[in-house]
Amino acid sequence: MEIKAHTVSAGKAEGKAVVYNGPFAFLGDLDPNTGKICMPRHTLEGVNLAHKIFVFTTGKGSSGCDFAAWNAKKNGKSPAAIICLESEPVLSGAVIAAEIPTVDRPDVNVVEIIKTDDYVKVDATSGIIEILDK
Amino acid sequence: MPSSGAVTLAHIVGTTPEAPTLEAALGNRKNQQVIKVGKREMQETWERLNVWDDDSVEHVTFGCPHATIDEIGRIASLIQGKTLKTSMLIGVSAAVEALARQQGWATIIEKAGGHFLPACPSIANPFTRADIAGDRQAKSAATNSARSAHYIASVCGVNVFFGTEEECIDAAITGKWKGKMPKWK
Repeated sequence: MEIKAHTVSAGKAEGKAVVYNGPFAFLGDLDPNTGKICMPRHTLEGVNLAHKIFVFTTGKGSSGCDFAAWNAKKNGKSPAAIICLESEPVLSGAVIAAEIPTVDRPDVNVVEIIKTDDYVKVDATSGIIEILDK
Repeated sequence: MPSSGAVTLAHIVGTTPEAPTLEAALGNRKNQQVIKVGKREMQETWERLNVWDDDSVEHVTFGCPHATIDEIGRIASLIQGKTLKTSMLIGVSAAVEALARQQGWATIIEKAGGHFLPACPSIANPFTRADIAGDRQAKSAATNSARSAHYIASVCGVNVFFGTEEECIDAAITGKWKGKMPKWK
């Protein structure tokens, strides 16, 4: 299955999806040393996002997002790519600086269509998401 | 009220300068979205920000984003002449810190064991960050700031107590948390 989306940060990546029906910030939600969700009582607390295709609803800011994203990327613990419904300016700046391929505004609701562990290919440069075996 | 999060400008009707009324805050336009916050949301948020398993408090922090001169005056009056059991950090702007020194309140707080750190966000709190404090990292922190509570719990991974200014000052003096969930209407 192929889904069209809007380019936020160019690049290509593929891997298993982790889907979260809520907003995300690199700072405070993600431990940049392990790639795990570190926010206490988060639905995904302890889930590792490293090398995954992370699917969520929107960015939720935090001005430290850019250095947190860059730190995770430098440690090899960032998501391989990001798909979200709407990337606000803080998240967009962070993924561009950290060179994490990212798309938003998909033409279907990806949070409902993509399931955790689906194998997903993201061509963020062309704005194309491909869910394999679907 | 400027903030560098995803929402970069917040008005609080009757509190922030450009929001004397709801109409003024909206610039005479219509609401795009109305979100109702009730007792259940307040309780859930309060519970989410209280992340602790025993009542021992090692650190207390105020002023996130930054303490006002009124808060500093109240803290000074409550801890004057006492020796704090916990470390205490107050985040301030340089201007408010200068005013607190002029008033003598900064000296009262420092004599009790508190510290001021101008232009320091909670994320860089040197008392709770293992990468700054090393072996001296506080293993628990109390605060009246929801922003501090969120980041200290998630970034520093220590116990966090979220409560009122009075509860935090009591914790700084006694080293124990006696905070209670407020009764929202």
